[in-house]
Amino acid sequence: MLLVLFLVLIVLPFILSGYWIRLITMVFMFAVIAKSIDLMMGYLGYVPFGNVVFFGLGAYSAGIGMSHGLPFIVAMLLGILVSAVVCILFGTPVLRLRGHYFAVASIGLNGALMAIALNATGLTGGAMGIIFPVISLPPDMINKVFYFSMMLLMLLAIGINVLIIRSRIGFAIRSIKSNEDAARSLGVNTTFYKTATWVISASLTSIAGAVYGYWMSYISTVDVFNVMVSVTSILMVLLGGVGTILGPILGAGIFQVLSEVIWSQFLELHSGILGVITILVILFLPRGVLTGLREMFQARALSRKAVKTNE
Amino acid sequence: MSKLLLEAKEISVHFGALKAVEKVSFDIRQGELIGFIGPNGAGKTTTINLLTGVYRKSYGQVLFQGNDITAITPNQVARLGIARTFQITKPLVGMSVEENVMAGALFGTAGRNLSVKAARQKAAECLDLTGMNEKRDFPVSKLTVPDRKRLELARSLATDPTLLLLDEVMAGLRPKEIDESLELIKTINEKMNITILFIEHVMRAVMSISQRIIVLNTGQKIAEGNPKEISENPQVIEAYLGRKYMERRSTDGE
Amino acid sequence: MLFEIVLNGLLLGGLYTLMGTGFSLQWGISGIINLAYGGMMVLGGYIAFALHRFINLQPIISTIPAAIVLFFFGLLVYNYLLRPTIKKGSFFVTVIMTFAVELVIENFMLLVWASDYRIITSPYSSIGFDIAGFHLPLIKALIFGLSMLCVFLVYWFMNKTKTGKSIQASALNPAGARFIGINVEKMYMYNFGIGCAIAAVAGALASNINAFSVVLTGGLLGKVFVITVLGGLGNIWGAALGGITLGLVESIGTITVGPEYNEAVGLIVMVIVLVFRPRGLIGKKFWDV
Repeated sequence: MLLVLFLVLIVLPFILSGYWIRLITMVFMFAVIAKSIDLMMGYLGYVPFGNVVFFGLGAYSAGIGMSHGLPFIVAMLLGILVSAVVCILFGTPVLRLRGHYFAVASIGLNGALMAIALNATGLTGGAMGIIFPVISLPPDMINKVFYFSMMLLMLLAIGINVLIIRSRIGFAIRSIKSNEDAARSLGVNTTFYKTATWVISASLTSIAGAVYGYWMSYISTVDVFNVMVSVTSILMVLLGGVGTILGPILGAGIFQVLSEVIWSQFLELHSGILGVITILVILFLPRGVLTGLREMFQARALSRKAVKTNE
Repeated sequence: MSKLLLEAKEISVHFGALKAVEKVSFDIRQGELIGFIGPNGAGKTTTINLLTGVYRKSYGQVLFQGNDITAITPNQVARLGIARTFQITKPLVGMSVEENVMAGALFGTAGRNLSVKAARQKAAECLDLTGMNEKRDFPVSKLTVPDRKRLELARSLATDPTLLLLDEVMAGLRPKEIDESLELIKTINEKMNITILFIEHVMRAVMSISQRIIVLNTGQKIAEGNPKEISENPQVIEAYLGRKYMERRSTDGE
Repeated sequence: MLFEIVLNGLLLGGLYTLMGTGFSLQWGISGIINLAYGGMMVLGGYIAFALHRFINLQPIISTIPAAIVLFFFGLLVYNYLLRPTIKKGSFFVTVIMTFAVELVIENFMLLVWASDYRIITSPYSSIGFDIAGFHLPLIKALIFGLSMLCVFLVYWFMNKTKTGKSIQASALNPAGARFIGINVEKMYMYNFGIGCAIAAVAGALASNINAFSVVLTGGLLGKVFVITVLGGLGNIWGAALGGITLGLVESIGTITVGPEYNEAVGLIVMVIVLVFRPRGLIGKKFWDV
């Protein structure tokens, strides 16, 4: 069934209009950000409210790199390097603490880096942002290129997710989440694995940021260091199902579509409605749509069984 | 005499003004089976914590196979070959019994070279040894207390330790289970050649299998010797039963 | 010159202490990181502003109705939104819930007042004293005094009244508190409400000297984080230390690097503190004085 879906996704950009292609590209992008966050949230148990900082670092690294003549791929890799370094410097001391501190600290990290980007006008253009080199292709080609780029990135994220679950790093992460003291007593170097997980999460987000920058051709601190991005991504994870492979993607899809609908119909009530929906999801579907659906089917199957045995 | 495995030299840890463990020294030799006893609150678990690097601020020195391990972290201690169980079991919740033991195999002393598949194999061996094989797919939440203790033991065995520190593995067990546990500990010590230091309150267990016993009271070592010596040691008796009992015993005569 | 910087820093610090107290209360005792705190402050400011505008209520007095409204709002939010969430899910989901509340508050304010900046001007806005060659506006001194009064009231309430002590007990040992008949859930609820009320007072007071708008909520939240992290959680002295430190840092910052960098400096200081002393300067676990 997934294969069918996959084929459909490949064919879509050739049938749909630019608006829809861009919408789905955004869904892919948020799917990547959401999956990166779920790596920390669902598997490790640490919620990085400020993970958007890596989106910003990726976007700015790409922008600054390209404005100095670097090809996109190199600039993007630069972004990954910068993000990884930040993770290691910041993560090693802060990941030793409990989740609360990490959550707050990550917001602070984002804010600090945003402020630095805003003020280091010489390097980053300050409040004026950065313009990316123009891509000399017709607009619908551009749409398709970025559609497939983001899709590829999303597939990469899924692949990394699967690899991690089945591997030794997956065991390490899960045991840290289950009982950190016990994990340590077994020989798990918890600081290393926590930081490593964050580095992976950051790198994926950073790539997304770089690609986004190139796609939009223009970035500014307010867009790419916007805490709303990671908070809404966390929401997407919750919506779709924490700790599942497809959950964050589903959540991204539902959220983006909803967001578009609300934006176009109820612009003034946009944030309010988002807030209300969040409240409703948390109160009534606390484990996300995917898990909720699964449980619903299980319950129905069980009751059907009960009816059968009674007959 | 066999090789010196672990040396604890005047190890201490203070929690504020409380001297939880104060200047405790002892040696452990390769292959020994040592009982570690003392009244509640004597500092036995704290000592194990000290040995395994749980406390950031401690005093004294701990040598393992000749190397100073006083300042290293718990995961490094485990890597070197010292495994421990917890008094209040700490199973990896959310993972199955088998996965718990696999975690031990993957990160223990030989972990670096083990593939996930090989780890599963090793886990199966440890589960077999502790009689938990049938429950290997159980989620941890479904286990009874004795099962949890068995899981903890299997898991620490999976790390392939040289020295095993057990913390009250028999608490809450019924007599038959205690006997099984005793057999298991002896097997691990004699057949698998793992040195064991075990904290226990069940006296008959300690007396029956320990080669040597170390006694702690209010953070200090008060006695060390073979089971017979310990059972007749006046300070030990006093620690457990109180001074009045001691005095009564000596005035009544033996 | 130095005197002016220090004085400004201290005066600002008073307000920051009040800000930090409410947030710290909610985090330290009710265990909730209230992402809606910034919004609540601004809402308090708007209510005070509206009362001043339409019924000509003295701006200082108008902090009281603002506090009352937000107190009850806090009770409702805690009871119907936060408590069920805490029961069901993890800590972080609760934080997201507060974020959702923030979204609703912001949208509400946007609808009613748009994003224009407002400020309350009153008869005392222009009165000032001249001390040691430096002009001290009366309003700043008033705000400092009122902030300190408010903090003192909270301290008195938490330590000298039955309810206050019950709240502390609920935080320190919920099981024990229940055992002696304290309705722990209610205490957490009151505590949350009080925190919201404090936010409103802080916002209402600040609206007298600073232009405010919905736009500022994020920055205010950031400031409150910095104060709490600097000083440590759940502790009036911590909030005070954090508040005054931030006040001084900003005061120095305004003169040296310029007001635009203020947010950056505060956040950078917080990051540094988190890295080297994550418990804050005097972090204690609960509402401990």
